[in-house]
Amino acid sequence: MIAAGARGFLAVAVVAALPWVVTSTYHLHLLVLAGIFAVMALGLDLVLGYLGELSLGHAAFFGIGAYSTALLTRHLGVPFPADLLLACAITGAFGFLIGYPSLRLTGPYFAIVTFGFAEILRLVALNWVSVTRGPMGLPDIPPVRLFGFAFTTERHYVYLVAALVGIAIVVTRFLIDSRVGHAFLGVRENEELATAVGINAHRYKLIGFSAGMVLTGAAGSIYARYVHFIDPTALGFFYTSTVIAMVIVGGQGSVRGTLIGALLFTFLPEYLRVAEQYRLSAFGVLIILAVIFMPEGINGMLKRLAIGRRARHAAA
Amino acid sequence: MPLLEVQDLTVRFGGLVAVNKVSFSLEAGEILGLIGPNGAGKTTCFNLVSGFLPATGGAVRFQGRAALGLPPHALARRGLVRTFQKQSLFAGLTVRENVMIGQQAVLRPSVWAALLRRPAERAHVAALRQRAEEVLEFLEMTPLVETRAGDLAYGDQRRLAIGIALAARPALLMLDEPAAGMNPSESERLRQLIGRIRDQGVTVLLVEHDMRVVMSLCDRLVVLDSGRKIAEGKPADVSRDPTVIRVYLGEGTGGAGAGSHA
Repeated sequence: MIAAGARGFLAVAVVAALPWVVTSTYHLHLLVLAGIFAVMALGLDLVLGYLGELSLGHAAFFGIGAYSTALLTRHLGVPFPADLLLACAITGAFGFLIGYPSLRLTGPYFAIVTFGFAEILRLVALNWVSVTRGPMGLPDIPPVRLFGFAFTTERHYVYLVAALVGIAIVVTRFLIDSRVGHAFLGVRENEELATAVGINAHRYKLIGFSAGMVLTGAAGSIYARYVHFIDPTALGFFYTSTVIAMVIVGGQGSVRGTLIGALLFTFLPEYLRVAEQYRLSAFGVLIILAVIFMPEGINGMLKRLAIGRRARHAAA
Repeated sequence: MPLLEVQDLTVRFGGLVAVNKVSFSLEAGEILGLIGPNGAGKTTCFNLVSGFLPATGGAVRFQGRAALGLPPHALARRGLVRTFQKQSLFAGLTVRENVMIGQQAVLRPSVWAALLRRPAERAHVAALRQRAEEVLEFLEMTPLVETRAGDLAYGDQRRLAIGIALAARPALLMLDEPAAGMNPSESERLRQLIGRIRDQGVTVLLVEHDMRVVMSLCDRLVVLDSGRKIAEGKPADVSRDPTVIRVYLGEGTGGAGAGSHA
């Protein structure tokens, strides 16, 4: 309890100091993006890491969150945080509707259904011009305004996104450490046995998937507010594959690993801009290497290093 | 009233009748063995009763209520819990976590409780840990609580499988070949464990090949062959039954065991 409190305090202190240490707008921008990706990746990790189901349509749910906020704020003038909460609810509801039939399927079918759903949604966003303005996208999404204060600079959004990441971490942790989390683990590790000890596997997959999509919708909503613009490319497979890479390379089923993955895959591609057209291939190669050489991701590697160090200490 | 009543249970796979009008019943506190040569339909019968396979015909009543057609997790919540021949544990988790998950049958986890009533939720989880430790003490596995289940010795894995099921607080514990692949000392420990489980008031139904385990442990036996029940009764009587002897000796599996323990 005390350790967790101290860690939380340290995290807040670091985040508070960060925008004064990192001063370039460009790097602050990357930090904001990393935070948004982190929330999206935590949402995927609930599905991939804790339930063991691969969603290939993750970006679609990010897009639902972003378009929800865009439409709610542009047409109805819904204020923050009502648009955020509504975006979460709408995205969660889509998660429920897609998950209900598809999570009954075993094997690769869930991955195929989610992939198809994302493609359909991208085409809808592209072609339903009267609502989404198609490929032109929705511009002029107003910035977040809270108690009369407008969030306009990158620095403002670093704090806002950090708060969102904090909430996402707490939600994920609370879920995972609870009896619900035990049911998730049972389903992931051995669905048949979980069923035999009274776990309704479909119900918990649906809970986990919907909860993950609520987080993802929140990421999309804040993203739309931050860049003031959303278009159908945000629903593309590129973003899905980026987030999958974050979770797998960072370490599935761990909050810390997911955060490391989000930072890595936001900053790394920026420094590898020279090889832009090879980015997707590079992600593919990295995922393959991670699966073969560090199946528990960077987090698993850190854990093993820590255990090794402790063992050496004990031996000395 | 019997705890479990199976009536004319039947399942067809295309032209094959894998279980053919099998009937038997189980009184509370009993240990019943379901035996028979390979392919007799024992495990299929098990899967039907525990809800993992839909039946073609017949009826199953558990605690006086119709049980056929209910999903396995609902049956587990009513107190009918089974193990599996293979992979009857959560391999990637610790022994303690395995037994904690086993308790899900008596839980009603809620997302809202997890998110909004954190202190109460922590107390619930602490109680699960406590109860898991009690179960592991009963299994004599206390020193192994932190071990990854997949790293356990084979005999310990089989004991843990029973522990996971026990954690669900079953009224009827169904064990699918618990002694398969065990050496004599391991199966002797298992025999004692099952006896102690019955002494706790749990009724046991087991499918088993190991005749030493079956003959000395079971109160009654039901013998299946080619999907049909061919004999039923006390172990001593069943092992003298000419049909049973013919089936076992004819198949050449376990026949000597069935005969020599008469």
